[in-house]
Amino acid sequence: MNSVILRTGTVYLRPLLLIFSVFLLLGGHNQPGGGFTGGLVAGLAFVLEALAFGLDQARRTLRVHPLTLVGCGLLLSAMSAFFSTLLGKPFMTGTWWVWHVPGWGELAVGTPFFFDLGVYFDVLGVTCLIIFSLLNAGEAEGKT
Amino acid sequence: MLSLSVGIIFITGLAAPYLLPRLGRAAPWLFSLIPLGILAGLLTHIIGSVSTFPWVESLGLTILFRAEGLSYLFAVLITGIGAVVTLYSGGYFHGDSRAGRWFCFLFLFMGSMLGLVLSDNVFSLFVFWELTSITSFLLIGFDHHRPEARAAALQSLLVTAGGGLSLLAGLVLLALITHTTDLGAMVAAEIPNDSPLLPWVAALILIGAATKSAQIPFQFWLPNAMTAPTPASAFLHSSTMVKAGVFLLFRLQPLFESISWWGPALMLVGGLTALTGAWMAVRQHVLKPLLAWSTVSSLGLMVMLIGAGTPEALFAAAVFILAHALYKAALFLVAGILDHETGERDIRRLGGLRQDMPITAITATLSGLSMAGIPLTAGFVAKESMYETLLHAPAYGWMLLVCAVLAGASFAAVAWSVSVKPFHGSRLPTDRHAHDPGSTMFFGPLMLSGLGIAAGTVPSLLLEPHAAASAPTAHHVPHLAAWHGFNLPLLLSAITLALGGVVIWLRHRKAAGDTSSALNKLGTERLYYRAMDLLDRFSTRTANTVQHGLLRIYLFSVLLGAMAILWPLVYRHAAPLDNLITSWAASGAAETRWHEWALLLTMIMAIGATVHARTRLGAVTALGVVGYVIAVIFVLYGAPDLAMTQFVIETLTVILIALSFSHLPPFRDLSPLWVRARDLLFAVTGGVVMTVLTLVALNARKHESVAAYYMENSYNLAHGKNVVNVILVDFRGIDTLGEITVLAIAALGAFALLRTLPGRKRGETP
Repeated sequence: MNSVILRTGTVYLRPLLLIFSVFLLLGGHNQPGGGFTGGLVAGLAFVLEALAFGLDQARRTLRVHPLTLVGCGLLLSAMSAFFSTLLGKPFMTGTWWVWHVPGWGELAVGTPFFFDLGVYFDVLGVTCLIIFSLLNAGEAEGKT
Repeated sequence: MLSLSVGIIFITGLAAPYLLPRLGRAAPWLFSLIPLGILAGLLTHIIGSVSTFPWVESLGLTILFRAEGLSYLFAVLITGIGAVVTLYSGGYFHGDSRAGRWFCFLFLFMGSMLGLVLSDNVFSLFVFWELTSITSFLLIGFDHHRPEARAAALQSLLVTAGGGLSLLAGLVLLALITHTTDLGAMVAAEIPNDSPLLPWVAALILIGAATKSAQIPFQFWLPNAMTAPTPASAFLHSSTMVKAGVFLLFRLQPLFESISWWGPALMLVGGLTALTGAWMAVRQHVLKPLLAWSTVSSLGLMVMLIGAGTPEALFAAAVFILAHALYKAALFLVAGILDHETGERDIRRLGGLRQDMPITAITATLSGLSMAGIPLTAGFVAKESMYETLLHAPAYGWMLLVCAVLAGASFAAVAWSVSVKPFHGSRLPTDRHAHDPGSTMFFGPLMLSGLGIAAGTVPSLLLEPHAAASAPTAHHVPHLAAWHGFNLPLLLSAITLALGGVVIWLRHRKAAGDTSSALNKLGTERLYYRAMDLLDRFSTRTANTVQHGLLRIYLFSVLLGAMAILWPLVYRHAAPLDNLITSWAASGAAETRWHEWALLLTMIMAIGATVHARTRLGAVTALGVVGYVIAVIFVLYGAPDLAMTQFVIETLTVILIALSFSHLPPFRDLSPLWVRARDLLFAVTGGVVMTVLTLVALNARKHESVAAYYMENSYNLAHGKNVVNVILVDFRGIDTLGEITVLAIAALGAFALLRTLPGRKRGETP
């Protein structure tokens, strides 16, 4: 695809989408959002780039193979689920650390956050993996 | 300490591929120190005899290891022969790039086998039992580029793991009858003799044990398993794993004593197996099948002795297990040396190697003497105690005695073929320059065969204590001695050796021809291939019928199935349906505002556009609009999380379908009118069913909604104000974990499928 409008739009949309996805991920616990939606939005950013600038460019931006993202995401989620068993509590019990940040209030970070982060990477990886594969197959067909 | 020992073996196995290149030449010696250390700990009782390790506590499963009696005997065998085989493997796989993998499999097997014999909990026993089947599969198929190795590995796995399922069924029933999962408690439990399930338990466990120990009619897998590298044959398929079935029958024998057919069944199966193995063994000319069939025969004798059931018979079985492990493992290792150093496996082409391989010749002779049952060897002591027992057996004594004598005669013939024929007579030419192997390879077998002689010379020191401990009722065990004087068993021994001599002479005169025809005549293996063939054809036919590749029909059948299940539900709730609608209308939810009407209209128009689209892109885009409208409805009814996900998913779906356009044929309307009518009917029915179901579900709540609990505790327990997200990642996080795993697997599947699309160059990675 070779469209100036799409390319120009992508240049501005991509960072916005990525920032929005992180916003969704971080805010997800208290506002609409979460790892799943965040991951999808981030995946959309890379898909957009692949459509506008080509698959190679999108792969370069992503830096790692989507499969790696899928694996790491799953691993992170599973590890955060198993964390409580190290403390002798049942599987998947949420463990929280609460700090009082001056001038802001209470900051609570827990294993569910890392679980959600794993979901984010998993979904991002899955989206990129499927769409990149399809694009690649399409390009290969176009060449032959 | 016991569970630690098993754990250390497993860890060594997993680490072996990494350690091997770093340790260099010392690796086999260091590796063999691990089983040797455990052996020393067992013999000196430094490693305690009981050890518990919590496994799944919420299910009441603990791994309870107990090294007493028979378990102790087997643990000693496994670690002792394991050390020898580990060392030997160092020489056998010297310079082989697969050595790391080999040691990994070998130690995993050793750990599983040790876990199997030490387990006092029947379910951990079962897990280790199946683990030995799997590791045996890996070891038999070690040369996986050879089709016959793969076939033999698969055959052994199917037979032994299939038998394992029967064993599991038996163990579950047994646990239900005895109300315990503890093996020791089970054997001690008072089971009413008239328990109707007990015969079934016995039959199921007998099948499991028979597959593992290669009893008739499952005997065929063991000779085929000889495609495994020789150290595996020496370890798994002669001295340890194939004895697991014997071990289990031995352990559970007291439980089934009251069943009238139990003893005769074991005697029949064992006796037939002993005779078959003996008959097949003397017809072989290749070293390993020869030894394998004689192993089948020995296993038959052990089962037969357990069937006889008297304390003396069990004691004789334990002595035989020890003696057999010592000489058979050594002879297999000798066969491996001959193969390794001369490149020749057929005894007809081996001869006069005594000069070139003196140490191997000595080892072979010592083990051969024991196998033939010449006085002052462990084999002789075992044979004497067997004959003595059978002479006094309460029932079927003389029939068993005939089996034992015939099997013993074949052992003598096999011993001659393996340990005399290759080393004496005229020197026959070999492909490779024959010479004794390095110390790693001859040290172990020499130790084992020397131990066999020592045990036969002073049996009261080396054989009796181990064997006596294993008899379940060890109140009076016969005394073992190297020499019992001139008596009836000695006469029988002499007859056995004479018969063996006759067999050797017959074989010498008539060099028997092809043995494969005899193999085929044995029948049960043909049944195995018949079954595999039938399974193959059935799967092919099913796959061709179900997996026809027409996407539309797939969708059609899935929907049809869903309708068939859901219709009755709708029908059953049809009566209060008008109530439903009235109550729903009365609640005010039915009051539709103008913008909702607008949305509804948009959706209907989009659906119409989807159906009437002239291009594929048009249809997909229109379908996307339908999805967006649904997302907007989510927003209006206060579900922003759902709406957001729906928006993104719709977008991605449109992109996905658009991307797959290049692989699709031109968009044309080929369906005849009746197909379109059928599809319309179908679509409308589907919609109606789903709508009614939703309405019914809304009013079908019987329990208090869990929503209140989630709302209340979301912030207190989980520090989150967005309940939807808290449910996803915390309250019901395990569902999410499952879902993302499924997602990852689906993506992997798509990735793999798209890589193999036609028109792609090899080696390209998306």
